[in-house]
Amino acid sequence: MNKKQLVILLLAGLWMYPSVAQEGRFKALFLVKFSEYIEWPSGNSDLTIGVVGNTDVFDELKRFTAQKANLSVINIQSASDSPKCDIIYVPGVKLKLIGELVSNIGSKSTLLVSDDGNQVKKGADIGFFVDGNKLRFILSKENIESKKMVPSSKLLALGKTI
Amino acid sequence: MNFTTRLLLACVLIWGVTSSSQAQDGSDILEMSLEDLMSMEITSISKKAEKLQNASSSMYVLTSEDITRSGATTLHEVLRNVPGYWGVQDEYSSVYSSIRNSPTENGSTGTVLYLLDGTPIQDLMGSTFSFVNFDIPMDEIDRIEIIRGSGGTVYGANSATGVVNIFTKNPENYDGINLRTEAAAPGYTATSIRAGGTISHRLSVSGYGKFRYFSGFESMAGVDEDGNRTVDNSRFDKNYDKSNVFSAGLKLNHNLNDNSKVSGRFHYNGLQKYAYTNYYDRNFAFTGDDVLVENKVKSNRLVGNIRYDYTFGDSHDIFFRASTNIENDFIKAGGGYQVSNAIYDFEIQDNISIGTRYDLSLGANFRLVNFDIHDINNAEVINYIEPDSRESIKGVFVQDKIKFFGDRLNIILGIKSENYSLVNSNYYLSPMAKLAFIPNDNLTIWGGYNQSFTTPGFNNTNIDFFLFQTPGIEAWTAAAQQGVSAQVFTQAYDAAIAAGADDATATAIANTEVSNFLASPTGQQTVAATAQSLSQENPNVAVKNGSATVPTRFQTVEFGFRTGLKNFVSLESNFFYTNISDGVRESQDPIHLDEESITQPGRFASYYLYGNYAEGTSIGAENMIRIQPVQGISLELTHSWLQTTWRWQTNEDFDVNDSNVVSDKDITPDVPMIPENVFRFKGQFDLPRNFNFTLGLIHASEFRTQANYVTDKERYENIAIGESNTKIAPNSSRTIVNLRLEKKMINDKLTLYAFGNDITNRGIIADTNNIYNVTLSKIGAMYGFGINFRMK
Repeated sequence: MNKKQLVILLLAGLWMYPSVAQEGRFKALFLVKFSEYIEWPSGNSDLTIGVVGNTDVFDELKRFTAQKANLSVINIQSASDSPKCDIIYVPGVKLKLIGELVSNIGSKSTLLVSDDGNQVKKGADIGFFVDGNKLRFILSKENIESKKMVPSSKLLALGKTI
Repeated sequence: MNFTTRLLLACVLIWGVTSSSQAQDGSDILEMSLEDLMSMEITSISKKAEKLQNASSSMYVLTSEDITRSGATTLHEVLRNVPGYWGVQDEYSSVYSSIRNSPTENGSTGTVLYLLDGTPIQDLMGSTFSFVNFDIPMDEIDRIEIIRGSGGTVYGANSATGVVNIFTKNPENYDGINLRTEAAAPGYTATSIRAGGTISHRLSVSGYGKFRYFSGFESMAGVDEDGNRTVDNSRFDKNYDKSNVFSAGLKLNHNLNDNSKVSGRFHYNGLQKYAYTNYYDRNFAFTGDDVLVENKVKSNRLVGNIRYDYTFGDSHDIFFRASTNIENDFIKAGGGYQVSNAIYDFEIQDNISIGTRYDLSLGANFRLVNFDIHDINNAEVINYIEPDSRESIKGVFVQDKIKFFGDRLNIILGIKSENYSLVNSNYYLSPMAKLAFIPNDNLTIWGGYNQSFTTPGFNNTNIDFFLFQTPGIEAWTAAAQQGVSAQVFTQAYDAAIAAGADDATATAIANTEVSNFLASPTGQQTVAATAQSLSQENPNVAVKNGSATVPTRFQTVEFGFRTGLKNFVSLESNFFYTNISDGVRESQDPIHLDEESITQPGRFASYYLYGNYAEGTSIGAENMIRIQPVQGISLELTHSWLQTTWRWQTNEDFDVNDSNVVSDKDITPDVPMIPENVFRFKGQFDLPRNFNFTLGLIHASEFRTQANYVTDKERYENIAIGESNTKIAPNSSRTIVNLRLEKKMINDKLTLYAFGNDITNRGIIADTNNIYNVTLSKIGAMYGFGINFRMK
């Protein structure tokens, strides 16, 4: 193996390895971006992201929100905590709470983001899915707008809509 | 976004994660646009006879005719017709199975005891039964008695939720000489010869031989679930679904006199196939490639017993049995290894009736258990504390059946005490109390309570299994140098360009900056710190056993009734509730960090622990209606329901109330491993002109199969770290349709038949156990025909 091949391999490896545990980081980043690409009726100046259960997404969001004046993150354990949040992220292990959350949120302007794209059909506003090696999201314009939030055209263009 | 931009963004990400010197906190990443974010590649993480009618248990019996007319080609295909049983294939003959227990994750539950002519045939590694290393002519089986629920006092260890008791045909009542051959598409053929009968009034003998060949349903080398080619040159060039199985048996009964007899039962099978295994070596972090191992598997099993029966009279008999199950098997976990495990079981049971009221049974057994694990493909990956060791199981029991009102009401009380030296020196008590009320010959109402234990397998007490191996510090240093260089280069290059330099000049400046920085004390410290950080953040990840793994306890309350309405309809319903404690599973995350390996001194790892961390409940029912409207037609409709819930159990190894250790106390899988509801229909129709037809329908509700697969690497994701993957084998319900048409000729001496098994299956990946499998196997429909010629 020549030096160039080695360098490429190492760089490729270096790129690959630290990324393997980084799914949580990417999801956290997406959540931050959702807060920027959706308009809340009361404005986006003070938004709270609630993360159900303890996941690495919560840890990553803590770091990111420390640098975003308009964003804060809290850890919630049950659907009854939904009034405290503008965005709620439901990880895969907590998907059974989706129905309760949808019911608790009702028409309030709380964006419900699920780890599973299939949950969008069950009332979530946005759901993640993996396409190839890339993280994607599916969203329901109807759900979001019914709660008086306005998704940007860019968000609608980049996400898969139902 | 072009490659260079993505590379730079990746370096920014890496820098943010790894570089302590620059205390990056992700601000650069936050500046990425949603489009940039979406273009980044990510990796996702993830035993005395009893009228069945009077039995105070939920029993189901498959007769020889049921088995033959089912069209089944393997034991699993026979058993899947039993209400309450569920098995999942990961290839044609490899199955994990359960009765009345849905585990928290893939794999057999270890709570169902399998016996062949009275000999326990458990795989000692996980207290399970290895279907793949077992074969016998299906028509050699006389009947299979399945107890749903605990085997209780008599069967003891590992019969906590079920017993599958396979009885082969008795030489004294043998069905002559039979030659059978059958073939099916795809690629299945089996030929057997069986012969037996009475040689003298004292001696009867039988024997059989069988060969079975199977070439696989459909190769999935290089293709995805839908058959689309995803890898041009698949690394799987051997047909890993192809298998040859030989089996032979010898049985004899010798009546010594009117009061005593000796019998022997011996079964042998040998399996040849290829099996692919893989493991992750120390380069995996850089290359993303596993190490593939092609294994030429030669497994075999010898099951035998010699039994001496003595009858003192109508009310007192005793037997002594010495039995063995010797298995040479190949285990695919951790790169693969060979096991040569054996049990030598000695048991004595005395059955005595005292008057007309008491039927007393007393028994004791002593079981020697030999573990011999050898030819481990990579002992750095998987090893055992004592790979060659000998253990024992000792047990005594007493059971009394007390009869009232001429057997209309009977109460069974029993208790068994057992010790398994592999676990500890304690004796575990399994008490049982059952009652059956039989007001008339058409109705039995029964109920009871029992406590039973499942002993942990060798895998639950001895294992040291490295799931991920970190590279050495030298490798991390080289990687760190590359990363730091790229970062310095980018910064210097961008600065030069901003200052007005052209590309060549900026590149030269940046290269000089890189050389100077790497040569400087700051640069060297940065590289060293980054390498150290990478090494510390990416330690070896391994799994071993917790502080003291004890048997899993099952406490079951069950009741049921069976009734005959008129002469042609019978109904049966059984309900159960089981409380499970000390269930064995792994911790949610590594618990012991930076701990020295128990099999490799000097190596350290972050250890997942494997111990009594789960408790739960199972609730369920089995319901059956059987109708025989006219002679020659039998219809059976059954429904089984099972719901098992799991939660973390308070233990000595970690605090289940610490949200940093346990994210959710409820660990019930979102989608159960064993389907909650299974409906079965069986219709047997005797038709004119000596034809008969059998239809079997099975419909199961959704159960878990989904897994994460790394398509371009042709392997499952590494479970310790998670990787870029594709979801495969989506969770779904399952419908199985089996048909068989038979024609008997020449006074039933010649039988011709055609069958279709699982005919609606167009090809599915049924199971995706990523501990044992490297790549995918499909199962599908099988269409075939056969001929049986009874010569005598």
